[in-house]
Amino acid sequence: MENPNKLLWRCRRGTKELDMLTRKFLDTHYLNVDPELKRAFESMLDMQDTELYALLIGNQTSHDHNINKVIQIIQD
Amino acid sequence: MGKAYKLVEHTFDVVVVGAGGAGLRATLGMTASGLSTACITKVFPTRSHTVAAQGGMSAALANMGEDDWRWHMYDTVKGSDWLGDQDAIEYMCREAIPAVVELEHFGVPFSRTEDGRIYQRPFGGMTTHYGEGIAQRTCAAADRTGHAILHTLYQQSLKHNAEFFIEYFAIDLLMDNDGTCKGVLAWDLASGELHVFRSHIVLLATGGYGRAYFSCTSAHTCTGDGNAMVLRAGLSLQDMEFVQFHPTGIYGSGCLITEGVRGEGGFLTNSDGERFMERYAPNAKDLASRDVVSRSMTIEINEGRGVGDQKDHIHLHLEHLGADLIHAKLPGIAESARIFAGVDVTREPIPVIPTVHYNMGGIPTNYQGEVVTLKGDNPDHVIPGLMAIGEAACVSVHGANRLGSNSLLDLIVFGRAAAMRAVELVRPGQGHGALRCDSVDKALDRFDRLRHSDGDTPTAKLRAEMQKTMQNHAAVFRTGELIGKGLIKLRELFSCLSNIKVTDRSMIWNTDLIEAIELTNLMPQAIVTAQSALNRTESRGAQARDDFPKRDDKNWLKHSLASIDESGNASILYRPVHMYTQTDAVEVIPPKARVY
Repeated sequence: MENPNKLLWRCRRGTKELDMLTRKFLDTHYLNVDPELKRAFESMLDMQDTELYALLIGNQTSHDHNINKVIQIIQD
Repeated sequence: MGKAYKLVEHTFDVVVVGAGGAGLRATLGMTASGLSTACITKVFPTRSHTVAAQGGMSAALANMGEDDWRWHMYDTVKGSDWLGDQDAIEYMCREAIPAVVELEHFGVPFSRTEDGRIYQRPFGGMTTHYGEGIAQRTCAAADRTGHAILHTLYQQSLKHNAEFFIEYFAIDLLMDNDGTCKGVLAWDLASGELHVFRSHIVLLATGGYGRAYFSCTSAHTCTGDGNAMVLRAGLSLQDMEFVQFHPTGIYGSGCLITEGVRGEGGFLTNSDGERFMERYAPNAKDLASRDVVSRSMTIEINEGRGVGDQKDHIHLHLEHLGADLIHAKLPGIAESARIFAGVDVTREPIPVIPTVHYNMGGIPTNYQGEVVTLKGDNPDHVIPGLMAIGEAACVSVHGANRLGSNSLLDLIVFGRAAAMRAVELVRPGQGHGALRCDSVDKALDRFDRLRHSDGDTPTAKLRAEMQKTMQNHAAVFRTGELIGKGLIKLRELFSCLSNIKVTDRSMIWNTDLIEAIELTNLMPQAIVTAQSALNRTESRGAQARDDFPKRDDKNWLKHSLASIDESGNASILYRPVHMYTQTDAVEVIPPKARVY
């Protein structure tokens, strides 16, 4: 597991929408999900904001099913 | 105190703080001209808030029909409600053309016409023939213009060997005893080390401070750190009362619903279901400029015609447009409304409220990006070694109100201009000499005090109170009495900064301390904003004083210069507006009523 404060900082995105959605997962779900979903979320934080926006708001799906699970949790 | 921290020292010709569109354009220009250039940024460059600029960048290329940079200048001066400096506006609109062409050559993938030229779309306030026709002047890279620009400029800067210091937080400017800027102190968030950057020029490109307000469209990173460093250096910020509200932020979250929605036929209603914009702007209606729509919405709410349980917001309708058009023309809007408002836009309206969107005010500069201040009777005294660009700066090209698609333009034109000026001022490899000042110790002392701050007020609580106070006392609706009460509250909150509770004492990824530092940056900006708004007893552009509803050119055609002391008391001086042009190619545009 990554340093939670480092992840908190990586949730600082270029847009408010992405700030809110990434923080929502980190604050309310991250500690409770399986390690593979933790890793999926961490890899999402390394993405470009445009990619992340397409996944979280633009209804696109990833080829990685763990990332899709994280998206589903965030959108619910 | 400073002795307790080990400092890593660097020397560069120039140091740029901030890696948004402006910072990256300047970094590229400087490094490509042979200056050793460092760019310090608290977040990864392509995660700067420029990412959020989707609309585009204006330039009178005349690719889609007739256009002229003088018409663009007229629109910008009028948009500014005549508070913009006309020499700087002339420069921006003229240089827009080569600046866009250069971006194209750097590799920004602008959308194209069928014959391969840069496609340009219409945008609010952009006209031909001095207000007669509608101009198609705005260049875009699909709906990701900001990201495309950041990505391209970052790659180009790396190619030219700029050195990036990413996830470094700039703490304070290093000013020497004669008032010259000599560098900056920064904190490497990952390693915990503190770094002294020595340079001949520090260029602040640190963006706006939207987070001083409760409802803002800006990302969490927008805390105006450079503005605050300038205030702490004893310098002034200019025209801070001018805060642009976007009419359609989603109620509750502040997430932006683009103007394009109203461009495609969306409209606003009050609690009577009335399309009230028809009363306020009979011609432009829902497409009137941002300040006019925001003000009209606020009047509706204040007069009891808001919607919702609290009657504190307004409805934005798209239902009549139909699902097909919404999905084809307004991608992402349906999803945004669903996720952030829980609304199905094909069936129900979106709850919206005017939301802080852009800061016209900032660090006063000339058109070459050099920071200026009033010294004696010289209103254009240059602070040696210090420059500022982008939303952090107040050149002033936006005056009292910014036009859409002029902000990306501002970033690029003045990023480019600052780089050209730096090349004139600095000889590559020039020696640095000893630092004759106590500013490193002072900055370290402030950092250390905050790090060990053991009061009883959590950062988040104090920040929320500041944001609510700004929202209730210094937003769209302003009167002297209301702002005055807000200022009393803000000064109380300012004094609570010394009583802040920081729990994490570590140096590595200490987000608790970062947020505390950011709050100490936001608070003085909040105070100078409110003080400037109280002081300016007129209505102009984004400043709408209910007790002084008219523009007053006789007394107020001047820039406010606000500074703040260590106890949180602000004071205000003035600079004249530049009512002159740089060349004979265009005449000064004299003030007249601003009607759309």
